Amino acid sequence: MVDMTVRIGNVTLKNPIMPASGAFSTDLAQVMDVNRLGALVAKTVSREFRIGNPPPRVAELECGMINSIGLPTKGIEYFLSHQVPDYKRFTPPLVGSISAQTADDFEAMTRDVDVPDVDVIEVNISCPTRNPGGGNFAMHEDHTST
Amino acid sequence: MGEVFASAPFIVGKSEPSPIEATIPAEEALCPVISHEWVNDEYKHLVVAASPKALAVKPGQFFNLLCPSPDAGELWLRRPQSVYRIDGTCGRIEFLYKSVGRGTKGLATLKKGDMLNIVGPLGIGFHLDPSWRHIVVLGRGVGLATLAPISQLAAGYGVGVTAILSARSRDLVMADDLFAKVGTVVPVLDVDRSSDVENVERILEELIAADCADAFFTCGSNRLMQLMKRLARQHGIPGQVAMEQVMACGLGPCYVCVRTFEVNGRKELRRVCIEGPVFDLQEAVGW
Repeated sequence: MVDMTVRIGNVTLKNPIMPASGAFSTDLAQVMDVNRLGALVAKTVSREFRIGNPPPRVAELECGMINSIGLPTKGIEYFLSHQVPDYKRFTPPLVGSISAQTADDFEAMTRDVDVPDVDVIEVNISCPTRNPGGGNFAMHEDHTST
Repeated sequence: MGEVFASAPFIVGKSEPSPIEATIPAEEALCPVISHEWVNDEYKHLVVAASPKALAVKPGQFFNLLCPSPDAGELWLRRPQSVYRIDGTCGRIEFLYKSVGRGTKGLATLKKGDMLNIVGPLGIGFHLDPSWRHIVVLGRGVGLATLAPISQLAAGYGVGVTAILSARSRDLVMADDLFAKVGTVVPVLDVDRSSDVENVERILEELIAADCADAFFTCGSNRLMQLMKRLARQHGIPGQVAMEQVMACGLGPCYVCVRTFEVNGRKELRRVCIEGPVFDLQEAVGW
């Protein structure tokens, strides 16, 4: 069999298939063997509970579909106490994904999510896409430069 | 043979079940259409040959159906459909649906011998407690189809069933012959106003007084759900409601199909596809 392993930092993936955040959650285990994936990327969490947008959240059109979910999350405490153990039932490395309103809170959340069962941390700077303050971090070069 | 990585639907009658995926409860399957007939002007009855996994469907669970397009446009999303009847002996599952939108109008074009692509069984179905001796099911319109399998299951365990079937008119009372085989049928209609909440409440109160209501089950009407919820709370009767919502993936990750619930005074949105479609009646807010 072809060796498809990939190294990202100090983490080794057995293949480069790493679906986007939340797209292949543990819910998919009801229809597929998620252990085939190179990594599991959890749905983005914020520090606090976010209810997300009220329904309807989807519209089917002739040219496709539009959805607007509103980044629902049960918050970081629930993520660590329930969702991380749920993901660790499976073998691929776990990528936690975090969202915050300020750079300081991004830093603090990164420390909070830095637990042994989370192998990699994704910083989600492009969602939610509807920010009354004028966009999100990804839209400002000075916010994203290192 | 090496490990199989590509996904392909299970083809009923042709594929061998994969031992690799034996522990995965749901699957995509291609099911030959056995029969597909109009029941009346609005409802259609679809019977398909089913795979072993599909036949393990529990009452209240659903399948996400890939419906053909009824027109020149694309149909992008699957349509969730609860199972109406499970025939393990003949290896068939049945759906009873109302042809109302593009999805179900496309579904209605399927002919005997066509293949229907399904994903399932999905979701959380009804719970039947062994201590219950008599249950009441209350449904309206196509919601009655969802309540049929739990009624059959209950009857199979010797549990009494009273089925209150609500519809606009007598010819739109769905599945009354099926319910009649498993219990007592009480049709209530719009045309003679017997479906009014006040009358249905009177019927339910009589059943409660006669000790014939150990549990409530409902589907298909917000008005009747609110009534059942109120009476269940007043009399301490456990209840379950099967909810509907527009879905996309049907599996959980897309978070499209939420409805509002209230638990300990706090409102929350839950996904109908994976946290339901069957929910505790007292936690449901309605729609």
